[in-house]
Amino acid sequence: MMSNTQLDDNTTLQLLRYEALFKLIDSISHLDDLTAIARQVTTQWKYFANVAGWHMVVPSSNGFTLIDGIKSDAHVARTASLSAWDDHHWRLRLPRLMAAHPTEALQHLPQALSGPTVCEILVIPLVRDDQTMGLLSVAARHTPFNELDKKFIRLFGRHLADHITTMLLRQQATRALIDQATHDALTQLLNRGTIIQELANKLALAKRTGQPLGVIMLDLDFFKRINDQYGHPAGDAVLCEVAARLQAQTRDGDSLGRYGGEEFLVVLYPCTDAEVALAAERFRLAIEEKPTLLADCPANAIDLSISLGTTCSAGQDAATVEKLLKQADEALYRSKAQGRNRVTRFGAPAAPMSLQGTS
Amino acid sequence: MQRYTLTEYDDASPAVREVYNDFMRTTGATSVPIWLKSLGHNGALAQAYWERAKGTLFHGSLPLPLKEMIVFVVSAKNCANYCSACHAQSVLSLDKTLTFDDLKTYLAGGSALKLPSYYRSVVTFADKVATDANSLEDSDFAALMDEGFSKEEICEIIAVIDLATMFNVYTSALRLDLDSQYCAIL
Repeated sequence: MMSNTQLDDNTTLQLLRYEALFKLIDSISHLDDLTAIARQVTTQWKYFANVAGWHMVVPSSNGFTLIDGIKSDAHVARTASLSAWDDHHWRLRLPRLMAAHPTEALQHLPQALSGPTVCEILVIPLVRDDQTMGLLSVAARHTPFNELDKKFIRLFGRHLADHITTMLLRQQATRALIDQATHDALTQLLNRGTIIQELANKLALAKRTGQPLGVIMLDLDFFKRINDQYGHPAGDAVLCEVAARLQAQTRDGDSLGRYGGEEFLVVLYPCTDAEVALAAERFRLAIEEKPTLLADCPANAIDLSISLGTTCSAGQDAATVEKLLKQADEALYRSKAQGRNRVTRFGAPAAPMSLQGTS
Repeated sequence: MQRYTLTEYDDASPAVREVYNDFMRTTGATSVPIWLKSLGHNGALAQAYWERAKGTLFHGSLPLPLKEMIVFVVSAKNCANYCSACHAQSVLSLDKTLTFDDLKTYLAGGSALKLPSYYRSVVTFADKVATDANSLEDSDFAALMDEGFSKEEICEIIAVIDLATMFNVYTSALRLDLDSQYCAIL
């Protein structure tokens, strides 16, 4: 009968491990979701290395990404700082092999590495060009790791850390590009094209569901004066302040965007005519109630106000994006004509001239 | 009495020949096995059996040697000569010094083969299912999950057991002769 050592070194068994390893590498290369990758790895480890559970740390923007896998389940988390276990081994940057005692748990051991079948823990720092690119801790099931296990764990660990780091960077870059294409660079609100598209999407939804949709167009009063008096940088600061206040008043699910120079558009769904009016008044008050302080000239507290026009799709079966924008714009024009710092609803009868409030 | 007829490649209809071709392309075999030729008189049946075998053995998460072991375990349990010999060969190729008897010793709980521990768990599970599928307990599933198997993988294990049972019934009822390359194994 052959010895265990001879069988462990058996070329055919090695080939089976390589086959399983390549199959896993191929299957995760098509995945873009880290949790799905982690689950695949957790289930497939056993086919090329005696791994019962694993814990991996990879640097990412704003901290670290943690991956834990045990049995057939896996979890991904993000953290700004490392746990005691990870911090110790990250700093040490040396491979470590530890026996798992049935009665005395290793200090700070991650949960994925513990369990009644675990007999040994292996920690492998993944280092390239003197930079730590990751930390992998694995637990052996029933029997200690043999040399083939360790070899395959190291091999796959490096590949996985590389793959995850590249994927996270790519996702971050894609998000940044999408943000750039859909958001206004100054105020970080949705840009004109995107807010109009939001209106189109929500109008289509409103027609399908029968629920009404509200539109508010608002414009900063006397903005040209602010620019002329305090300069364009101050004007930009004012726009950012206005955008932040409007954002704070915007419900989850509603959309706010910068429609023009000092013009903003809000899409509210679902929203009745009465609710649009309430929301508009809320926006108006948020701008009026507190002056803006310019950072460069703290003594200059600028009083701001906005004029608003509202409309609602209720009762308009043939509503289109263009019609709603035109209606909101007409109502806004009436707010300006009647003295500014007020809300006007499209279709409302003309009100007597007054300084502020809803008409 | 030979209980079956064989349709050789040259005598097969175009539809059956396409099934034969797909078998050889998928498995890398250079000839069509007896079990498939015995279905060659009926294109739909030949395709149905082959597609079932292909989908179960050549797709999914489980490695092929593990599936072959499962088929062997079930076939040995059902005393299906043809299937035992056919699928034992794949497992025995892991170590050329081993014999068919070593494999049978392993199934009986012996330690002739140094295989990963999860093989033992799967063999125990397959043996129980082959004996009586209704006797399975949640603890049997838990034991496999402790070895790292997901529910999806366990479902695949059961699918392989079921496939083996289907072929055991077919090959044993017809008392199929062994293909020449499997005769030496028994």
